[in-house]
Amino acid sequence: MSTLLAIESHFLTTANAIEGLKLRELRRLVTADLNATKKRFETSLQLSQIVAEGFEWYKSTAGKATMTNEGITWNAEEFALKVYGYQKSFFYKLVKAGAVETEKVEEYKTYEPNNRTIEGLLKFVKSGGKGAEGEGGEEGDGETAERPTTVLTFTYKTDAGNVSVRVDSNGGVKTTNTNEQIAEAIAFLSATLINN
Amino acid sequence: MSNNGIVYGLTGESQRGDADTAYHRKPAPLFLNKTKYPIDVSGLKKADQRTAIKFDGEDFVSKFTIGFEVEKNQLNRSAIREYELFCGFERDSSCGYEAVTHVLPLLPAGKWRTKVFDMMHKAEKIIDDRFSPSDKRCGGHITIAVDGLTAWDLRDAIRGNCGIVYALFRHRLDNYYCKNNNRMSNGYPYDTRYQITLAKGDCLEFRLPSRFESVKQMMRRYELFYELVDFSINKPNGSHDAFLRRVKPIVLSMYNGDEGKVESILSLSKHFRAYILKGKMSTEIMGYL
Repeated sequence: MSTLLAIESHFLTTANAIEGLKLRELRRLVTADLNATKKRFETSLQLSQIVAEGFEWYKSTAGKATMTNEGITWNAEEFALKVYGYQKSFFYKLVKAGAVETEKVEEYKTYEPNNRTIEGLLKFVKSGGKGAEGEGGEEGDGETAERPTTVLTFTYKTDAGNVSVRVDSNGGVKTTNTNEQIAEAIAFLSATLINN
Repeated sequence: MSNNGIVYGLTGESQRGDADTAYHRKPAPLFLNKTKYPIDVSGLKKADQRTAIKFDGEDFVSKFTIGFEVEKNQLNRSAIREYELFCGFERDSSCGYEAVTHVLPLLPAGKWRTKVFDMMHKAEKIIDDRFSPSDKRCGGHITIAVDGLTAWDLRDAIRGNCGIVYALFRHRLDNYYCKNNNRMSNGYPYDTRYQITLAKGDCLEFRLPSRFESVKQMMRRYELFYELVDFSINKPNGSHDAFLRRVKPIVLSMYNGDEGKVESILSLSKHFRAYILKGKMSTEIMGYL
């Protein structure tokens, strides 16, 4: 949790903030039993709805007026950190999850009976309900595709711009440069190594 | 602490927490309008970063500054100590006590301003009448300064937009301690400190504002004076109507959203503007001057 200024701590105890940000429900959920995976997903889902609604309040005229009146200025990132203790990326995942229709959530639960997560739900929705692997994914196997790790990165600075190459653990190559440019970069590296 | 930016703390100098300091003997104020940390200014709009902040090679410095005098009949005895906000206290013959702030950065909304408001919040037991009472003998002087301008330059730059200040504090326009030079003229021929705005070298003191009764009131006045200075300096050709549109949300907040009251204040400020700039005294403002 981010360090709060006295004025910010006070703001979070005001009636308007408690109501607008649903802080009582938030605390109840945060302290709920998170041991079982299924239970954890349900709790996270409820949490995401509270966070999404809180974020809507933050963006609303009433929310802005309340905060201004109390002397608080937070951008979205500070709001996420100071109210919920979440970094921006996870906060936005919760906001997105909070906006997923119940029907889609139920579809995801059927698709993923055991290992349910907020990230999994979002991937499921993004892939159009076909699971984390998208079109080619195997339905109902409960496994999420592992993201390949990067095994090599290489950057060569030239007057004409950078040559960059990234190779992942699946052998995938990511670059916007031509083979000739890459060969030139490798030749430079080889020559430098030989001369040292 | 670079992750969170500047942290305003106490100096530990006992004199800053002594309420029995004689008149004009309070400790010197600190200049709190500097921060080393980019994070304090990074959230500001690009235009605000350009117009409100300068980088002096080491620190980010706010170009506008403000200070407040909080006059009180009594100070809450348990609350007398050093505060991050105040340079110190001193006795005041007209009212009782006076708490004077350090030189504060006058900033647009953002992380840094929230820290200034946080200092005000922490000084609630001195500012708020529920703890430290005041009466009509007390005032709420506000001093502003702009980097590179003399007080006279500044007065000249802002006087066309000061009608709103007159309208808000109209009942003090005939107060003995601030009634002179009510057209804010730089050529005022009489040597008296009891003017609506008193030029003091680089600083311009507004003697007109009424006493401070709450922290929120101080925050609203801070916001108002930021808009007044920012608009006057950075939009010298901006229309008065545009200025009033900018300050309207602040005035609305001052009057708890009472639209009727706010409209009458904004209307009065136009009449006061005509008086300040042209000497035109309309019936609407005659009773106040």
